[in-house]
Amino acid sequence: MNLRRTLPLTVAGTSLALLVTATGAVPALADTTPSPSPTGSSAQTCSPARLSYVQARVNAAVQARELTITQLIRVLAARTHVTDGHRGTLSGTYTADVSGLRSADAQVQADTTCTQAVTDGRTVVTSFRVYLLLAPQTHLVAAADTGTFAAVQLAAAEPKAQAAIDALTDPTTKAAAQAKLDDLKTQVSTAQSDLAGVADGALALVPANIPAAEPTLAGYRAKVSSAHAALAQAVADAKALRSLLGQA
Amino acid sequence: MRTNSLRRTGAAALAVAAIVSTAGCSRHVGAPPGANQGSPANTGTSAAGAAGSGSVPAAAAAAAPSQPTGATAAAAAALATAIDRAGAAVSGTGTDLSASAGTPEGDPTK
Repeated sequence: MNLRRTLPLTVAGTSLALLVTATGAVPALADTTPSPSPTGSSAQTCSPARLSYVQARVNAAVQARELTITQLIRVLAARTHVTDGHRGTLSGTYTADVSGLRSADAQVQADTTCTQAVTDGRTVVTSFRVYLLLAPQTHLVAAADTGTFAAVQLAAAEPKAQAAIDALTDPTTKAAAQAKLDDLKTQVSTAQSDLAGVADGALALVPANIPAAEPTLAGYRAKVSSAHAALAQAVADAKALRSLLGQA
Repeated sequence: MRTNSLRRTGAAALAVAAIVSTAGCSRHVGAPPGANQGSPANTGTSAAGAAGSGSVPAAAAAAAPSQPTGATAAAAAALATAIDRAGAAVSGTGTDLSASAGTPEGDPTK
């Protein structure tokens, strides 16, 4: 819990010290510098003397997010199985976010009061959600599209594998091979079902959906995790099947 | 340098093939256990080779009398392709899955 956010900033003295100590948040007590807040009476604590400090912090936050976006651009470029549509959507978001972050930073640097700077500075988080949304979106889309590619590759081998099994004469080998192929089909189907809609669903989320939509993102991650496990099992089945056919 | 290296590699491969072939034949004429330990392909770390457990060299296995049917060969090729491509994709999926968790944004004004 971030006490600096939740406790009234005007509260001070013994009662605050007791409360902080009781909750075990000793590091928060050590920070005696009043934290700026964009709302209500707490704006009193946002003195003009803190303006340059806030501006510097916001600038650093913007640069850190730009660096993250640069890394995400590299990640996306390296993921060759992401669809053109998803790639275009993500690339457009990167461009818009970099532009928007720079505009927000410029606004904060031009602000003449600390209160304005704090209010504008917080849009660096709330209007972009680079860490809580954009980064997860990128990786979930890449994982979903790459997993879908894997499922297609495995499904493409199924007809020929079935034909080879049908041609087997040894009943034991035939039964074992059929079991592997059946499981491969099941795992591929599971993966495709899990991955359906994940990329589009993740891309449909916008910063305003955060933090409310964090459970939705967690649900997408769970689906990708399930698909990943299914695909790994399908690859294992394919290897076992190839081995069985090689013995025939 | 690269050309020489390739030549050496090629020569080594031919030598290995010849030795493996010889080793495979020697088993048929009653060579003692572990007779193929001198082969460059055998580093001496193989317990099976050292114990002379009767492991068959790859070249000999490839020359096994049972030939795959057309359907089997086609399936083997299709599965090999699927395993290569899907295997790499599954690995990539795992990498992105691990990186997909969000991280706290913090407050840039503090």
